[in-house]
Amino acid sequence: MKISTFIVLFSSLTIAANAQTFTIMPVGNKISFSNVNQVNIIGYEGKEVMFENKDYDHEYFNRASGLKLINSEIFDNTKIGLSVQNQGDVLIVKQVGNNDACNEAFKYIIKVPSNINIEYKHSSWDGDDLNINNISGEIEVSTNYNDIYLKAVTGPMAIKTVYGSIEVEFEELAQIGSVSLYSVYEYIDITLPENAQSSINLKTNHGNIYSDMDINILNEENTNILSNGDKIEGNLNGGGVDLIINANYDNIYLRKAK
Amino acid sequence: MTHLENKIIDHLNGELNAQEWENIISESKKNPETKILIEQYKHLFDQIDNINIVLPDNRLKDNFNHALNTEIAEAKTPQITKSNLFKYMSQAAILILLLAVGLLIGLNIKSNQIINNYADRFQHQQSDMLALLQEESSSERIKAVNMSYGIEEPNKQIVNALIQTLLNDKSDNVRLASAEALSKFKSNSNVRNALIKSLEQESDEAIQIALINILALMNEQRALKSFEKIIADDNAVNFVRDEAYSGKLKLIETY
Repeated sequence: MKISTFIVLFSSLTIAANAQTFTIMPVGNKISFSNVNQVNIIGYEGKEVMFENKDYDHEYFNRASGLKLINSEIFDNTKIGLSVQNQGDVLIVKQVGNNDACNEAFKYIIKVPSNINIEYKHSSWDGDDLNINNISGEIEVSTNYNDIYLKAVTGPMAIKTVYGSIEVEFEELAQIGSVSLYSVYEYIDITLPENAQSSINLKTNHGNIYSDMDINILNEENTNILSNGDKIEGNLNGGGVDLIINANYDNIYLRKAK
Repeated sequence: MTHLENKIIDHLNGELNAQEWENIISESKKNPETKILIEQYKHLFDQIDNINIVLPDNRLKDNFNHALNTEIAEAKTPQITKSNLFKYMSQAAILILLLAVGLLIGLNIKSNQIINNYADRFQHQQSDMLALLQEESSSERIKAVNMSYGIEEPNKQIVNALIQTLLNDKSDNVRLASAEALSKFKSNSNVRNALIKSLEQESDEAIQIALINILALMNEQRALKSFEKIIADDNAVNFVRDEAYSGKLKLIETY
């Protein structure tokens, strides 16, 4: 066995040994995250919700072993720093205590049924990136600082961030409900299938709007009103679900999938 | 009239040959009745010849021609007298009135259909929108808010629904969409009041920024007080305070 191969195998075993998991069956079809840092949500063809703290820091948690967290009213029922429980039809997920984004002890991979509806809220600066992949359910995100990356999603969705950017790669644009993306200070970058049908409303007060898609612009006379910012209203492929994109201070990129 | 009488008349008209007339004379010499008959017809013809024939003068001819031409002209273009003018006008007025009534009935039916169709469509749009606003899904509620753009003249109920959504909806994105939708009703004082009220009670920073921008663009001077309140609030996050300060400058510049 070569030394390099040995090192790779050893590293993998170490990571696997550190990973801690928690699994639960959701009662309804909605999962709600409240102030959970460094979240990576992946849709899969199963029914359970599986939490994995990939880089579980044994030393960090062992130091607090036998003690009770007394600066939080939330109880850690997962042993990975989270409170997870079904309340009504919603699976509620909350982070227990204060954990900054630099702490690798809290970095979650969460596997969920791909058709589940997701709600994610985060108000502080340490949310870090939010990644959501392979979800056909409705996604609602309200954050202040997270950068948001969505891949292989279909909508509907309502995404809002103040200081974060938003990148969305649509697998398809479902003709179910509206898609609303709002960032105050950062860019919004959308990739759509070339045949996506949508009624679009793009607005930026201080940025620019770029696209390589065949947009039928309906408000050409109003595209350069300085006092109101730049606004594009039109449709793609004859129109469809509402696609509302608003980036106050930065650019909007609307591109077709290659 | 006998055969002899016809011969006598032909002779007096110059149409009987001489031999036939000699034969009749010879007969009259033998028969006194024939002689008397010849004398009676001669006398009759003399009387006829002596009749004084009065010829019409040229004025009569002119009058006749004038009268004839007048009749011809009248036959072509009936003369409108005051009496028949009134008759014609009455008939024309009745005809026009009937046409107008028919047209009005037709137009009324058509316009009623248009109004009914529009009312139905408006009613449906309004019902759909108000129903969607009650949906659990945020995307559906945003869809409802966006429907207000398609309603040409949203009524008070729709505007109030948007205001309630702005003030009470639990989703940030839905409240943001409502603020944007309401911003087009610049002249509506209820909307302006609602936007100011929303700014005073709103906790989400992104919506605060949107409201500050909308109120500044509306040149809503009453918002100045709210802006100054945010600027003076140590608990407000810096970027919202910066936006409020920017909004304040816009209001002062445009005042």
